Amino acid sequence: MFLKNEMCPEFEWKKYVKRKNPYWKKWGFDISGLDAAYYGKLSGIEADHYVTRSMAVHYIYPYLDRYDFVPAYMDKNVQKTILGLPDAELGVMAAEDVVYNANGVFYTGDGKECSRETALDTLLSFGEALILKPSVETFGGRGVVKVERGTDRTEFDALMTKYRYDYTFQKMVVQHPVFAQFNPTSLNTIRIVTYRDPSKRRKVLYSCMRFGGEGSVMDNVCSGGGYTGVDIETGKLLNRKRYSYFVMDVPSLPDSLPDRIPCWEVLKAAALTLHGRLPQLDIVGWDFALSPDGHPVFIEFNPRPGVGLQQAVGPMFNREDLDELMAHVSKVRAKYLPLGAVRFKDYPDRTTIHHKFFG
Amino acid sequence: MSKLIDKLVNKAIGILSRYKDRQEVKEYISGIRSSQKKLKQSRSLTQAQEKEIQEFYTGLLGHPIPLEWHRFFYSRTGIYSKLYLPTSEYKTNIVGRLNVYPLKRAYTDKNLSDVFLPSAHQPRIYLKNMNGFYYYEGKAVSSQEALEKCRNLGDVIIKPSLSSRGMGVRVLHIREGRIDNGNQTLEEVFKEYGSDFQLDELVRQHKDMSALNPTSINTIRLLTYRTGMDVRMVYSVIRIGRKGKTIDNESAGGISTQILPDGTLGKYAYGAPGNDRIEYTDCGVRLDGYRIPSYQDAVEKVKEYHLQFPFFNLMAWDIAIEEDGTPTLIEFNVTPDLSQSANGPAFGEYTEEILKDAMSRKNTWSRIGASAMWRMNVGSIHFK
Repeated sequence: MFLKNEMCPEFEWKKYVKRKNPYWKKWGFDISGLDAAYYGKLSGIEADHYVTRSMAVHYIYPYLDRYDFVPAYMDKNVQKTILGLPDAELGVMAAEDVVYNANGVFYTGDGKECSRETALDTLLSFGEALILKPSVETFGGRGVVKVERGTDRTEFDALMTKYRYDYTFQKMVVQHPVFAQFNPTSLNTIRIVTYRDPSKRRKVLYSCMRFGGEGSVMDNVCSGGGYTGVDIETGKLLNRKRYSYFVMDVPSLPDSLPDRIPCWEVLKAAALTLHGRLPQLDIVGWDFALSPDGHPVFIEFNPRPGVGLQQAVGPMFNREDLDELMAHVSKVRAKYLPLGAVRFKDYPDRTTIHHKFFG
Repeated sequence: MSKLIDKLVNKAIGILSRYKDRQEVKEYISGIRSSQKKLKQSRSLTQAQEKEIQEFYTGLLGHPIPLEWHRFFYSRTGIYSKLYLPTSEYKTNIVGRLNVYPLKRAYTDKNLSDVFLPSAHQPRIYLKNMNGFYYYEGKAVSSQEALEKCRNLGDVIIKPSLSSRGMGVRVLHIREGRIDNGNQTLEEVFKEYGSDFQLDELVRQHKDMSALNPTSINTIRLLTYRTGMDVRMVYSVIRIGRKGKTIDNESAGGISTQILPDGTLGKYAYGAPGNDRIEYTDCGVRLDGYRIPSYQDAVEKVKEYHLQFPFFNLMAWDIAIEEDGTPTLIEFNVTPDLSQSANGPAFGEYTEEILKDAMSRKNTWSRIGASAMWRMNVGSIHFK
């Protein structure tokens, strides 16, 4: 899967695919050296303790996150409620819903249920451009579109019919001018991954600035955008390279871009504080925009952050943390997960449930 | 090759899933047969009745159903109806269609009820333990701080936040870090409960509710069904504790009786099989015609609450009535047990409508992924 879906075809994968990764072998896992070689080549940080997708999805994330809570927590319509956002005291804002749909039921932005007609009326009376996006599984920005000002009732109705259920119409977020420099047409966000270690300390694992491609609305790589690593201590851009998928020869970012993320300490603090409100999840990927006056704007959180950003930042865990974590995972593995790989692979996530079950 | 492996694995999972469903159905049937043996009277269904039942259900579900439940309720109540719903069918084939089962855990975590229903009147939650982390009145605290803050709380209820049927619910009298009504320290109690529990204010119930049994909080259980923007009251029952008991659930020997639309009680209450057709509470209160205070308020409130849960079309609500008549939400449930002895057929006049609605949706219960994860998590809570 990694070969087919995530690796640049130019990479000399044949050299590495049959080699076994000694780090994972130490823990009893038979993992190819391919992922580590690939990530190391791109990031410039050679190491054998890169976390592969299979290890993350089948063993590490199930250990760290309460999977009985994950399906509900992946619904973006519910995330702000769970986190208690917006939080004026904390100084964290949130993207505002104008109308959202949960399981086919419409709600206005204040959480009141309404009919489809009322939802249409609300959208029409709003009068400004909106972002429409699914509330579940927006991997790669799937389904995220800008709805222009002046959209009429018929067009809104057609969009509602097309999206069917679990989506939201949100107000456009106005971003900080420094964030806008990365790409003015898209809402550019910072991904901060936080981790709660076995001693219950919360820490930032890594961070990346994500931005859209020219003319794109979304900040995702899939829309022609890119990402670049951020130093978690200083907020400085790590190596000023513009990463995207399937590209070995990573270009540099333009010199005109800033060398530091503004309000970095505020963003970091927001992620760490909010993680404290999610006791069921020990690893979370946070996506924040930044308002013009320097307030973090919560976009979403991800209980199972992708591992692909290791291309830009190096191994997601430092070795000591990973050793400590794997010591626990390995003990649990023997007891609970003899078929773990099979079960977790086929665990029906929210979108799978919906689209498989409702057609 | 990996596609082939995926296919084989999915096939194996499908086989396992169907096997587990069959095992589950067998367990339910075994359970109801064992309950039937405890009844004082046994009634058989006539051939015509059996035919009527099977025609009705085959038309709606596409297959015949086990008749054990119809025999059981007919034997117990003396009332025949084709509309009784077998628990085996309800649990494995109905409720998972009406409700998105994999979302259940987060939405029914009692520690999150104030988050999902901030405007609902609920007992004050002093302390939450969520996955091992303590929160006192909403603020994160260490375990030591939690003990310190709770050391003189007085009368409280402690309950697991992820269980149902009153399991693990206790009244505690906490003074100086010790439990007055038990030989334990508060620390020992917290250790015993482990994680995922809460300490709530003890509800002072209305005198008319207390009269039924003063030692327990006697709650109204309302079952609501949502269709579009319309929420229907399917049935309501009252659960009354037995003399000296602190909880009203059947698991603690409690009894249930129907609440009629005008807020008065039905004639008979039922407890565990064998405890049938009870006309008086243990305190000597006659049930027939007894009026429940603030009943209509409670009905209106739960209909409002249900609109906040778009993923669950069938929900059960447990409401206590406070001293001043305020309906207070104790908990809600998205895979509720059905009170067919006390109430009669679960879905009553809505049976056909609800079953048709259910069968138009896919089943989110019977996939091995969801049910296996549920079982694994129920067994181990989590993997740590």
